[in-house]
Amino acid sequence: MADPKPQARILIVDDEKDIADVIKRGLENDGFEAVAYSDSSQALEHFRQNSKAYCVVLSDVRMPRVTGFQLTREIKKINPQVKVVLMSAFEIGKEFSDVLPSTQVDDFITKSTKIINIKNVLLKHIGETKLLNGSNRENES
Amino acid sequence: MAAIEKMKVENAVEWLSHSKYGEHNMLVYSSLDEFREIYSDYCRIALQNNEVVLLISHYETINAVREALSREINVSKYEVEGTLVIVDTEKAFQKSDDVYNILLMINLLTKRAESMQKHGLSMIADAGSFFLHEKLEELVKHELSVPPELGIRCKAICCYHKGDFGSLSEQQKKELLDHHNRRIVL
Repeated sequence: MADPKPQARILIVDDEKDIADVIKRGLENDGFEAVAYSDSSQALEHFRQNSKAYCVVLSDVRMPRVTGFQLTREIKKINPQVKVVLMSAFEIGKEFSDVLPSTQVDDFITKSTKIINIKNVLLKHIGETKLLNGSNRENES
Repeated sequence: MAAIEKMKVENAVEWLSHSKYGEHNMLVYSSLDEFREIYSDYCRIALQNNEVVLLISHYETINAVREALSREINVSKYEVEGTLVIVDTEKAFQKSDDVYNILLMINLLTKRAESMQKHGLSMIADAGSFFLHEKLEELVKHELSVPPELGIRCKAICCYHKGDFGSLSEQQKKELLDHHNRRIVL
C-alpha cells in the first residue's frame, strides 16, 4: 500500500526565488501543499492573513529586510503553535548565539540537503501539529 | 542630507572602478542579481587594472560567489596568487582583540598589494551581517569609525541591500549617507 500523503501546508521563504521554487516543487511532488515567497516581508504579511493555514514555515536565514530570525519571532508571536524550520547554506555556529536565545527555532537544516531530508524534518514537526492545524483550517474563512 | 547619486548598474561599475584610492564609498543595491553583476564586473576590472581585490559576501556562499565570478575571470588563478580574496561576512565582521577582522584584512592586503607592486586594494563589502545579528547601532558606530578618506591605497565600498538599508532609522540613514565620501543608489 502506498504511503499516505501528508495533509499539510508549508510556507517556504527564500530570497532566492529559484531555490524557493525548487523546494516547493519537491514538496508538492511528495503530496505537501506548499506556498513559496522570495520576499520575506511579503511572506510575513501573507502569514498574518493566513496564520492558521500553515503547519510549518520553512525559511532561509540570511534574507534582506526581514531576516529568518526576525521572521521566526513574528510568526511565533502570531501563532506560537506553528513550527519554524530555518535553513541555511552557511554553517550555523556560535555566531548566531547572540540571536538565538530570543528566537524559538524548532529545527535547522542545511540548504544542500536532499528534498527527502527536508521532507523528513517537516514530517517530524507536522506530527506534532497537524491535527490542531487540520481543525483550524476547517474554520479558516 | 548628503547628495545621493542614482545610477544604472553599468554606470555604477564604471564609477566605482575609477574612484580614487583612500575613498570610503557606499552603494545601495536593489537585488542580489544586481549586486552579483556589480561585483563581477568590478572584480574583473580591478584585477585587470593590477589591483588586489577583497570581496566580502553576505547573501551568497563563497562558492556561489566563485561560480558567479568564474563567468568573468579565472578565479582560482587569482586566489592562488593572492590577488583575489573572498570572505564571508561572518568572518569579516568578527572581532579579534576588539578590532573587526575586516580592518585587519584591509591593512594586510594593502601591504600585500604594495609588496606585489600592485596599484592598491579594492574592497567591496556587504554590510548584511550587522542586520542579521540586529546590531544596527554597532553598524553605525563602526562605519563612523572609518574615515571618509582612509589615508591608505585602498578603495572601500560598503554595500547595502535596499531592504536592509530601509530598515534603518532616518537618523541612522542620515549618519551613514553623510559620512561616506560618495554614495550611489541603484
